[in-house]
Amino acid sequence: MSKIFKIIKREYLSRVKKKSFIILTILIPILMAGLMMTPLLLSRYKSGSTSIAVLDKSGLFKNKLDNTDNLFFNYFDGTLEELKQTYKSKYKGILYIPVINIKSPQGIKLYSENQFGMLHSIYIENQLEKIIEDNRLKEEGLDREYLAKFRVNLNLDTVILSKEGEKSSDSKLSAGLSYVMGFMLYIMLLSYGTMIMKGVIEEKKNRIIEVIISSVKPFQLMLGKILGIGAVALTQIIIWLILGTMISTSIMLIFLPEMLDAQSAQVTQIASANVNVDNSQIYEIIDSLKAMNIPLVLSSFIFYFLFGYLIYSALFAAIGSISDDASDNQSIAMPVILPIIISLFIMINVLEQPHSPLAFWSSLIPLFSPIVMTARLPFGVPGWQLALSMFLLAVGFVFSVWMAGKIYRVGILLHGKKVTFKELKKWVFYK
Amino acid sequence: MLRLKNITKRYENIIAVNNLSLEIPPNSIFGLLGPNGAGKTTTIRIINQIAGLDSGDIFFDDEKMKPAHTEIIGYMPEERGLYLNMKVGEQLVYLAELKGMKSKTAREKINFWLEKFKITDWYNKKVSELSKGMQQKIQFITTVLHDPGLLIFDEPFTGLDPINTEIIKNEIRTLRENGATIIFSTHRMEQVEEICEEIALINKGEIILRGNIKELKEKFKKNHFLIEFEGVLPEHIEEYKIIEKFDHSIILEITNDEDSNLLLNHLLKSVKIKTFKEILPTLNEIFIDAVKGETDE
Repeated sequence: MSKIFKIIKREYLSRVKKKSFIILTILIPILMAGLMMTPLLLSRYKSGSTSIAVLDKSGLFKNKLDNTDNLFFNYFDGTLEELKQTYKSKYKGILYIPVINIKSPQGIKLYSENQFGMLHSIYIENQLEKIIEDNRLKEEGLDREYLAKFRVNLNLDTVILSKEGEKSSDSKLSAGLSYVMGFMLYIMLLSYGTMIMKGVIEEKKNRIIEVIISSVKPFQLMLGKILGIGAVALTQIIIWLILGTMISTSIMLIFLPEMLDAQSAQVTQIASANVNVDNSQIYEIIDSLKAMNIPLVLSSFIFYFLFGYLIYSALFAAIGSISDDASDNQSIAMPVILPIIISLFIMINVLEQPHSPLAFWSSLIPLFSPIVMTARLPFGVPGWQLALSMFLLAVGFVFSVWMAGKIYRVGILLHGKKVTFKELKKWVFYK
Repeated sequence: MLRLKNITKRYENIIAVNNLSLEIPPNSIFGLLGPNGAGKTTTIRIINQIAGLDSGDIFFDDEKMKPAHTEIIGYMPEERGLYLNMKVGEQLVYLAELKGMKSKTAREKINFWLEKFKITDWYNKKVSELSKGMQQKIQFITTVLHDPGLLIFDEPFTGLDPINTEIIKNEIRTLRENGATIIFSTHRMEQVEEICEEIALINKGEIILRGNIKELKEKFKKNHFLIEFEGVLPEHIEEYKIIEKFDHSIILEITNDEDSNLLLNHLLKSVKIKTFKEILPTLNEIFIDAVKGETDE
């Protein structure tokens, strides 16, 4: 037992101490943060402000268009032709409002030399609409405050009827979470599986393998390698989680007030309705998170991550043991890589139909269930299906480690020989 | 020290080791000889518990083989290597720990050996930075680090440069003097003639010959004598069987080695003798004779 621990320690330390690991583990979250922050930063440091000359023939809008941080309205008298000659020196465009019928306002134009930014033109449009609406309300003897009392804001709650009772859900949120978890598993299985395979090939290629297995059993070496590299994977995930939380928290702290300001300003301005719209959506998300049984989803995710990793790493170790030079790994590893890729395709289908027969059956098959079942979890899976799937995965794990151990034991001592499937079968059933 | 009793190992259709029995006396240098594919490596792997037994028993000092016995063996396989990305010191500690050593004692031992080979400054070097010859020294240290009572070297000199070969031969003699038992396995029989006392010849998974090298040579000798001379050989030299003949040397076979003095007397009358020497068979020749003898029977 203590020897397995020594092996785990070596496998772990030799990888964690590598520069590439440190760079990858720390750089990736920072890169991701950079990707997230760039658009925010760009929007923050917009090029200077824009001024617009307003020529209002109707007299309805004078001094009523609201300026923003970077969009200013200046009002003019005179003719459009005159303004067209002179505006360029100070203004980016001319907003021309002829005398209009407020019941069907027509002929309002925005002149400019260059194309106007989308956000600005939408903003101007909204401002104009608001002022015209105000005028029409006034004509009818109403005002905005009065009208607001009648505003209804409705969210359609989707509710799942299940044996455990009713649960509200948010299918978009579930799908998002499914996708993130499933894809994470996909990446982890592939990258750490390949790492195991490379480790085994290295020992075989270096010819150190026989020195080692004269001290420990091949199975101990394989298990130590799998657990050691598994610990590397866990370390990486934990560091990513911590860094991710730190980075996203700091982004929130820097940008959230600004974002909220902008959003609420927009909400009041564009919809000119109550600000609660946003809040109620947030509550809804919290509600459906509660309904999703997050502790169960997360603990199941960890279960599927661990056993998925174990089942595939054993197979990758077996593949590594029978391959000889690094060049033909890709083709020889195909039988193990393929089910991972297929799982991803099934997962994409499952996001659409989380309870289809395909979803059901493939979430029971051990090679597919880690990714497929993880993707199904946020949609709610009946308890017996989850239990059966976990049980089958555990059985599959024991079987794959047993089989991999048999292949590994013979494979690692074999040099310069192509192995056929027939031979593999024989090795597995050796005494 | 080590006793193999009727061990048999089959691989699919091939019998790699067939009902082989062997006793390795303590504190000896024992040669396990035979051509490629004779079953030497399989036998050694069985002793190291890398390969399992189909039938038979193995005893270490009358104690039946158990997993813990791997810790008293130092094994240098024919296929050998090191982790290239690990530092020399780390690697030696790791391999010693796998043999059940405490890391502290391992470090002391490592220092002892590095000092002995005058390579203490390699401790923090990566193995990939070392030359082949340097790596061979490290490989040797990994084999002997845990003071094993039984040392097994499989084709130890393949890939070794002459200097390292000499160093390792000397170290092996020293280890023997310090009480270790050593097994040498090789198909290059001339390599072990000067170092082994006892040998076993293996062919097709079976022992065809075993014993003390001197005794075997006596047993298989053909009474061949090499004579280097000046002058003209006597006329009746054809009475002896001539094996080879050159201008100033000849190899003769006599029927009985007691007659060597008679031959010498006979020669002295006509030529000046420079060399008169009995030619003992090499292990290679003995092996070939033994294999022939087997097939003749």
